[in-house]
Formats: sequence, C-alpha cells, structure tokens
Amino acid sequence: MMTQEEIIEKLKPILATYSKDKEALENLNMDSNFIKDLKVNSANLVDIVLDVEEAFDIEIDNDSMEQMLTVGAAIKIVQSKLQ
Amino acid sequence: MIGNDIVDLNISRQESNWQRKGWMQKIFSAEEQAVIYLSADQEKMVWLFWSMKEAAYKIFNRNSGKICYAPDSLHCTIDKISQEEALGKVLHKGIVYHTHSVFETDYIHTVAKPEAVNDKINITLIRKVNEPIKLPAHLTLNKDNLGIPYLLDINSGHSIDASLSHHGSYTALVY
Repeated sequence: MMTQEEIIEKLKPILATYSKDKEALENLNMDSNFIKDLKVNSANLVDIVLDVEEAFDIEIDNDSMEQMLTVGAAIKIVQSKLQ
Repeated sequence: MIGNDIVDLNISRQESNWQRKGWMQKIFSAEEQAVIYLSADQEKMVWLFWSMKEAAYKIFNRNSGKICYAPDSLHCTIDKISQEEALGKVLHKGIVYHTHSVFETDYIHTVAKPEAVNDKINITLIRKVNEPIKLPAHLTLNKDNLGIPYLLDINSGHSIDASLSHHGSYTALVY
C-alpha cells in the first residue's frame, strides 16, 4: 500500500505540468483546489486524470473524476483504486 | 440565469491535446464523439461542445452551489450550425439549457440559458484581457459574497443577472 506521502510525491510533477500558480504548488496541501488554487485550466483537468491513471496504473471512472478537484480527493481516489 | 464560456483557440492549441488517447472518452458521450469524428472540422466541434457544456454547467453550479466536475453528464445536441454560429441544447439532470455559440478565427464563445435563447436578447461584450470592458455609464459590474458577478443599474437600483468567463487573451461578459 502506498503512503499518502508517496502518492503526493507522484502527484506533484503531474500537477506542476498544468498549474499556473507556482506558489500554490510550493505550498501544496490536502485542500489545494486544482482550479481555484493551482489555477489549472478546466480542460486540463482531464489531462490530470489521464496522467494519474498512467502514473498509478489505475482506471478512474467518471464518478470518481467528478470528485477529483483537490489534492486530498485525488489521494483518496488513488488509494481506493489501489486497494 | 445565464452562463457563458469562451475558448481562446490559440491557448487551447498550446495547452490541450484533444487527440490524446482517452481524452475525448472522459468528456464526450458516444453520440458527441460520433458527431466530432464525422465533422469536417473536428477541432471546432470539440471546442464547440466543450464551451456548450461549460456554459450550461456554470448555471447549474450557480443554482446548486455545488462544485463538481462531470463533463460527461452533460449531453449536447446541435440544432443548427453554420460557418459563423451554432444553436444547440445541453441536457443535464433533466434540465435543458439552450445555447448560442459564435465562431471567430481566434475563439469560440457560447451563451447558455435555461429558456430558449431568443426569448430575451442578451448583450455580449468580448475584449482582450488588457482592455477594459466598456459598460454603459449606468451599469456597474459587481460580485456577490459567493463571487458570482452581477450588474447594478445605478438609475433603477436593480441588479441584472450576468456571467463572466476568461480564457487566454479573452474575457467575455454576458448580461
């Protein structure tokens, strides 16, 4: 089972690709919102989902994708799919 | 209630690869994908559907106060399309939003409303980000506690429903 920290380390470079707010990226926390804080363009949310699928070798269904808007939510989804 | 969305095509070309494997499947229904694949200008159809969904979704988010991200739960149909514009509908959770989209060389802009778009003529102001929005002198642009924009008519004291969107070089205000 991957720890939360291990998941965050894998998420960081993915988020860095699409985030327009480098300061928010430095101060990443569980509540960091992809759109509001990291200033990710909404069309790139799908790219984040696809990158996360590839990085963790999981499949994220559309119900999970709906919720994947914060770092905390992304970690929860990855953990549940890895189980 | 009104929603709008603008897609800066120069930015979408730089930042989004809609041909990426799996990208369309996450956003578009099988029917929408079929329309895109059969279109002579696939890129235009991708961003047309995208802007229709975003514009309709803004109304839903506003009404429900809920923020979630489910582009595949909105279903687009096109009623009429020409080189310059498109009329269509977006179905979401049993509600139909009517859309009017305009195609320009550098952007696609969509206005969505819960009633037929022609019921009331709306005013759309589109500007480059570094230019000010030129509103009539009696109107001021404000935001409520939730960050939702509205216009205030200083003559009558009435507030007017408005929707703002930004992408790349463009800002669009519809009221």
